[in-house]
Amino acid sequence: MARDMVKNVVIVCCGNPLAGDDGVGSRIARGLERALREGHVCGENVLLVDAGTPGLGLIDVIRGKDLAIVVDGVKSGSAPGTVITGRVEETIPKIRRGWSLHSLGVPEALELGRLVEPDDMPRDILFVGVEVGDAAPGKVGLTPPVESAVPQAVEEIIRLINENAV
Amino acid sequence: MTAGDIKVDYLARVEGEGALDIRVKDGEIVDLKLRIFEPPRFFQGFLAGRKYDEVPGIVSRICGICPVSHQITSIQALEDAFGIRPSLQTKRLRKLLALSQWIQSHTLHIYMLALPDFLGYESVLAMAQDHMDAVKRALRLKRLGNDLTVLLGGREVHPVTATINGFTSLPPVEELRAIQRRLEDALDDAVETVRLCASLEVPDFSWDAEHVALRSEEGYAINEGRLVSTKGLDIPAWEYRSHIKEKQIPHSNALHSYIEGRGSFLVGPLARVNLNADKLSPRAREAMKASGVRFPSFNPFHSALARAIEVVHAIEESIRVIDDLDVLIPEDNGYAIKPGQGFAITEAPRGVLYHSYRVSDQGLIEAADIVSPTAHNVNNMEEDLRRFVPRVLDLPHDEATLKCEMVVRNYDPCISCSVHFLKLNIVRE
Repeated sequence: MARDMVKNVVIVCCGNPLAGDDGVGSRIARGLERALREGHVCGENVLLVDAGTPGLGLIDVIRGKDLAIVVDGVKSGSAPGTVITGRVEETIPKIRRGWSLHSLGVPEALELGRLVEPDDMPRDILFVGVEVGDAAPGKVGLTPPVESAVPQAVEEIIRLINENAV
Repeated sequence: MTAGDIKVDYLARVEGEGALDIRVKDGEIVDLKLRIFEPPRFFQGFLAGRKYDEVPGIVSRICGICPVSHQITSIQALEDAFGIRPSLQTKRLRKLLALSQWIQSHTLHIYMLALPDFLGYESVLAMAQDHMDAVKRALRLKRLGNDLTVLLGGREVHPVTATINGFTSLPPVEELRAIQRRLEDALDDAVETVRLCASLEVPDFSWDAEHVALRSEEGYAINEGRLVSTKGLDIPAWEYRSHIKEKQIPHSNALHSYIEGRGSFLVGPLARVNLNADKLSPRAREAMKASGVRFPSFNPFHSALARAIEVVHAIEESIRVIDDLDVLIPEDNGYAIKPGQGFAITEAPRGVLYHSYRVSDQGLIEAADIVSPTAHNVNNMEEDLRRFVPRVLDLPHDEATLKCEMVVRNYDPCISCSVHFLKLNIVRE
């Protein structure tokens, strides 16, 4: 594949590794690092960001990219460890504005970015979520079902890049 | 599984709900409780027993909005324990990093939270339809702050270059120059932000709260100085625990901070402007005067204006600091570990941040004490509400809730990684 055919891709892994299963994004980032190193992904313009809890900082991370893949923990009532994939607008509902910047999350950031800087936002934003179990602050490490979902999520992300980044 | 066939309640960090419970009798408040959940406390426990050099990386994860503040404060507390005096170059780079966080955090607060409140929009998304220029300005300023953080911190979101006694890598001088030109161009945006905040109609609501901030003879304090207040507090960091106490509050898992012998106090941009106005940069002082608001102001609704003034300062000060960083020299960052206790106070975007660590001769953390700006402010939020709520008791419930939320939002509390809603419960007896 010619270099100029490859889209600019950013993988944004969100979550707090100090809050139990909320750290799943960060854990997936570590798995992806290896996959990228070992060349399982086509394309050289793939940026991996372990973004923690970026709030509206997400806009700065995805600005100017062709494809963004946002990775995070979700709570949907499914079994912990369930991996869901989809276009971001179909996957994440909006939450109400809270008291502070902390509650401006991924969906708000994306909506704002698309509204205010539509030309600079990726045309495609995909979401890979992993159902969390215990996401209480002050715990390090994932619960077993979430930990065992990490390889599947990593594989899913690689598939998404390879399918979309051409 | 694909999206669409299940309902996903997006995990916006940690769940939880804040609540304000008010009991009213004959039009008077008999009880008022702000119940919140404050996560940073949990982190102290698992720092114990860890190696000292793991600390800056761990604490930078406490908060996704101002990771640099926790990182730098922990580094400075550990340096204090080891008796390390970092170089002037290191101090300047740390200052730039901290200023970059102020630019980002303040801009977002002003445009994303305060403005929709004051202009009567449900959210910034609704506001953007009518005020696109303002929202674009916000994202420009935010991006500038972010790019400065990335340049100094080495990567997006969670910077990694700041370390004990220095930096693991230095930014290229030509890139500093390039961002300096962008900072110069951004000054007009910052001054316009002050003008906009000054034009907002705010409730006439002042009371004699004690305001606390760092103060330094070197300039507008950010990473060093003495802790001073509008009621005479004037102490070095290591005396913090002799003056600032905490009490357990049954209705909230946040501890309430108070000054020994007095009571609650306010930290943050308003306290800083009130206590350090003489140290602001020239354009910031000019913008403050032009705002028409007289400082010191004890009206917490002037917090957004104080933030805007600080954005001007942060930009102008960053330009000056980059001038001072003419040549960057790789330095020897070596040091020796010593057992002992270290203390540091910095001004995070939301106010006074305190870190203290006791380190063993093996370099293990024996005790950690972290008090975030929000932890300092919670007690004062309740005091604000106690004085403010009587004005809104006759309003419809939704309107009263919004007004109370605005009182809390003045502080931009760091609690709502867990708190999304203010649930207002009024019991009338």
